[in-house]
Amino acid sequence: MSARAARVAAGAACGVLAAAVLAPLHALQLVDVAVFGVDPDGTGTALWILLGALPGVVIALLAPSERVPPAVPMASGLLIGVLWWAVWLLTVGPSLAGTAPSWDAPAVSAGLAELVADALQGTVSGLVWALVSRRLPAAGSEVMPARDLPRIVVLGGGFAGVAVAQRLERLARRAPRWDVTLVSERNFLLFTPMLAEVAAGVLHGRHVSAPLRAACPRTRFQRGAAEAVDLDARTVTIRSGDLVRALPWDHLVVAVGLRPTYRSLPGVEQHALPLKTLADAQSVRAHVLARLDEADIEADPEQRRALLTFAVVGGGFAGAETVAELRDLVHSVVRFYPSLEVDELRFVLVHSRDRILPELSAELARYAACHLAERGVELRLSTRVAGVRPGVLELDGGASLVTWTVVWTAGNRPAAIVDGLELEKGPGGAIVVEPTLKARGAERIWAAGDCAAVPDGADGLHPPTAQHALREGKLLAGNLAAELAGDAPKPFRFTTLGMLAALGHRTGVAEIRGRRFSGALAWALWRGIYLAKLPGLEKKVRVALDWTLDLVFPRDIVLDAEPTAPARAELAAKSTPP
Amino acid sequence: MSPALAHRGRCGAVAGLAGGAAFGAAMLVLGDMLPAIAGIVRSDATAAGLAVHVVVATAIGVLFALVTRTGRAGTGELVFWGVGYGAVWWLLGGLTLLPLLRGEEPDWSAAAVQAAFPSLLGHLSYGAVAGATLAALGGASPSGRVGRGALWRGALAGGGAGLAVQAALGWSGQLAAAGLDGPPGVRWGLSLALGAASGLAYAVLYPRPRGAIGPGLVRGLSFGLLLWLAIAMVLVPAASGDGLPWSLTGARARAASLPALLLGATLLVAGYRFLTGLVGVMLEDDPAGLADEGVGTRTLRGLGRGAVAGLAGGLAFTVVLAQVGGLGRIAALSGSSSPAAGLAIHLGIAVVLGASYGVLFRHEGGELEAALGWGTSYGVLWWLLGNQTLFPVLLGGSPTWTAADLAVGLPSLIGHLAYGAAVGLTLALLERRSNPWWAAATGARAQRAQLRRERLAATAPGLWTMVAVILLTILTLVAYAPLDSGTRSTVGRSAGRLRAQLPDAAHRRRASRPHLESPPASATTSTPSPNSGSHLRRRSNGRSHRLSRSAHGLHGAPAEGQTNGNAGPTTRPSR
Repeated sequence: MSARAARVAAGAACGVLAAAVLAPLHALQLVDVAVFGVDPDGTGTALWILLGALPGVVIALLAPSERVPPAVPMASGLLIGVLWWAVWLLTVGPSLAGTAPSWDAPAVSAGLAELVADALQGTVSGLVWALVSRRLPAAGSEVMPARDLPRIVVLGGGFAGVAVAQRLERLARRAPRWDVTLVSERNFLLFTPMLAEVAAGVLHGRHVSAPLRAACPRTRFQRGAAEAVDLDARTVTIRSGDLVRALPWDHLVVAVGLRPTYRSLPGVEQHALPLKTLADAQSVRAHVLARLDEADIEADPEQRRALLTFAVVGGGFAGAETVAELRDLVHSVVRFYPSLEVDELRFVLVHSRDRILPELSAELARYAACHLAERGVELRLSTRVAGVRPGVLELDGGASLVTWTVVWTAGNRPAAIVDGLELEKGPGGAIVVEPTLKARGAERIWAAGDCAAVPDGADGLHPPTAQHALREGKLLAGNLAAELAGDAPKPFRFTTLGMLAALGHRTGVAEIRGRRFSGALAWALWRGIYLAKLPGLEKKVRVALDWTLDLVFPRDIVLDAEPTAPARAELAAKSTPP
Repeated sequence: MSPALAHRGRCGAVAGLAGGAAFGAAMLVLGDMLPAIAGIVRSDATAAGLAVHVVVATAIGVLFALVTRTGRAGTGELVFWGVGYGAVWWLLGGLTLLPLLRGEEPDWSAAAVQAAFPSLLGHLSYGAVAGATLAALGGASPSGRVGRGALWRGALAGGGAGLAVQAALGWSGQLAAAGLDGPPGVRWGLSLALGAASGLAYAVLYPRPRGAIGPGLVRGLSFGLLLWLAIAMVLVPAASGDGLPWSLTGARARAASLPALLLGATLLVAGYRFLTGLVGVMLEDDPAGLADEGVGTRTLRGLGRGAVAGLAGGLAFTVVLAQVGGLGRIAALSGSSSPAAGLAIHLGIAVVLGASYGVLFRHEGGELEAALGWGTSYGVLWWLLGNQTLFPVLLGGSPTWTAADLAVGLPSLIGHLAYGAAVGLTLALLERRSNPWWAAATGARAQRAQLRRERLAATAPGLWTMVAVILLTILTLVAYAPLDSGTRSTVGRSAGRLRAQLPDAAHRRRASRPHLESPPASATTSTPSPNSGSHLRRRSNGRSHRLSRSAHGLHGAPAEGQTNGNAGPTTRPSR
């Protein structure tokens, strides 16, 4: 019998015992014989004794698990007795007897004897419970995780990793069942769908980031980079600054996400700006504002053109949203730079395929392309990047683009720790997992999120999106708990809810459950849905305020991050002989 | 027995003696209770009764000290524990053991219970004095020195609350019904002085408010019962030479003072907490002592979850409203009589009050026991503040605080209890779903959580007991039986009948107002009731007989001189 069942049974016994003790007195009083239409001689009191189990059960269910003075359950019993009188005698009893309940003064007056009886029965039940409960096992103590609990290490503080940790917390909220450690290089969860707006200065970086310690308060957190995993010794090496230590695990969850990849193209890693982290977004914004500052005092027309040309590589969600947001940023602040003309501004989106936003339907992709083009964004479709030089973006076929700003969103691959894992890898280097999210061929390693190749049951893979990562994380935690409990795990099944992209200035495209939206409605859906998904109430309020203020105030041009080196300095460095 | 236990037992004996002295003095004034007690030793002498009473009071004082020994209750909490303890001894001792020891059958019938109303007040007084004495003897957790600032804040909040009570009673024409009539200058001065004194007493009993605001309001409600006992039942009648109006009839005649002082004390505590919080924010708060969440997050979360809980509570309350036909009455707030409009308004109010509960009681209801306790306490508070005060005022009338009005509001009281319980439990379940605060991950948090639990265990159940005592007091005070058994009254009919039965000048004055007018008793019709007299029979000595009109002194309109108010064939003297 479980501890909870034992407490319920004991509570019922306490209630019956208390009623039995008081039964001789109750038998002298008013007997509610009409409740079940039974004979008045003794049957009413017998019924009252049996029903005494119910307030006893309520006392047991509501009582705290730790020891308290006897006066506490007695006090609760008195209140529960009075409430029980109102529930049973005035309400449920008459209803079961087929008559309408009545709570008016005559009914209360007629039931005063039962009120005395029930109040006494509740009090005595509380007293008996106080004596009995000391010998019962606790229903669950809430103390720090013990050292001998299964050790679960979660690598990665993204959507999947945090979902795993939170789900494990919830599954063990009444009693410690495992010792979970979350390892992440950053101490916050970045809400990546809003990263482009951070780069555009609409949102503050901290407002789209949830601190991991607050998001997972009952999980141990270690800030550091996972450098190596020893599958035999079951340890993972964590570097936190100069401190390197091995963290033991019984189960390892890999949810490290993706990092940008530059495909060995010359100069891209050195001169292009990635947009994957919060620091990246802040760097992009600072870079753009710094280029405007330089252009404002630049007399050379060729240099001005290069400084005022902003190229984004990659036509997926990140690239399309970034070029749109950068365009809005620059256009909204250009009035602060007196020598700059709007006509001088140039925005280019370079994409290797023949249409942008390949995840969306062709119709919506066409709408997005037309909208961007109408707003002055040049689309270079079916064009690949050959390399980046200072001030020049080189394209395939020998073409080039003069620009000092190249934002790279064109490729990602799993984080470096995944490369070193001796596990089966899928396309792009992702860990191949079973439908249960356990790494294929491994016993105690699990993977979820963008770094995992999750089969979709139709010879394909689930796409690496936040909505998938969240659900994979929850299922992974449930399966892990099931395995520890000896239960069967469940396969991951999920159909993409929809895709949304913001195209700047109150326009967007969305495809939700097969329904397509575009324009202001899609933009509103984007904001509403992502605001709802943003973790943390405080962050929601701050982002909502940021958006509201952005409607009525101009963008801020304060440089709160160190911009990249001035264009002229880079050129000078290039021209200086080694 | 350990020396500490023996010392506590001795303190308990002294406390019981002090409580017994207070109760004994009251019985000497009331006159006929001590001879009944003397029946235990087969005597009818007052002196013998007093001696038995003192012995018993001392013995149960020892028991009181022992059952509260492991708690961390402060002075004020111990007084509440004492009152609750007194109420239990009224049920167990006055209504049960005393008749048994006298060789009689215990009688819990309405007539007997209401006849024992003076005994209830006596037991409550006993508990309050015993609790205070035990605390004074060192039986309570030390609460620190009472600062001058706390006294000033108490006097200020109490004086304001006293004036507010006086204004409300005067405006609603219920001064007489509260037993507080008199020349205006005397009334206002007395209200100010008694209010300030009450505020000082509160500051001494609870110098440092702890926990959320909601439990503070329940503490105010509980403190109001003490004030009612002290002011309305002892001080004012004694000052005006009326003796102790502890009989059912006497208490009913002053019944308006009960909700007035319950709400007034709640206002006092709210003011005290506000002033203390203001001082804390302006002068004392240290960021190191702030809660884990900022006030914004805390409030918004509380509002959201509380609103959901309020909706659940509103639906529970709707069962009662639909049964008694109260939805149309609520619709009058919008000038309509449609039940649909009434339901919409009712659910709207339920959501708003639920949201306020979510803010006021956030993090106080982690345990389901606490959730039920705070929820029902909040329900009782809103029955008094909402149903009996604001609702009639919003309809253009005045607060309905008389015994007759409270009796009319009994179905609503049941509804408010259902509402409060549902709100408390729903909010607790919602809070449990995400990051329960009580499941601490670190040593420091576990320590804080443990302290919170201990504080809850030490203080909260005492307050819930007080709410149960308030319910017992009100139900005993205002319940009445139908004119003839076998009949059933709807609320409106009950109101009309009760107003015809109860001597209530203030109510008769308001009866001329069209919006509050009820049909006269003669115009009401009755339908058979399965829940009032017809199916409830008292079996005594093998004979069954229906509860009859003669068993209820109320219907015989007893004179003030009838000590027990409900003297009748089945009524026996009871301690």
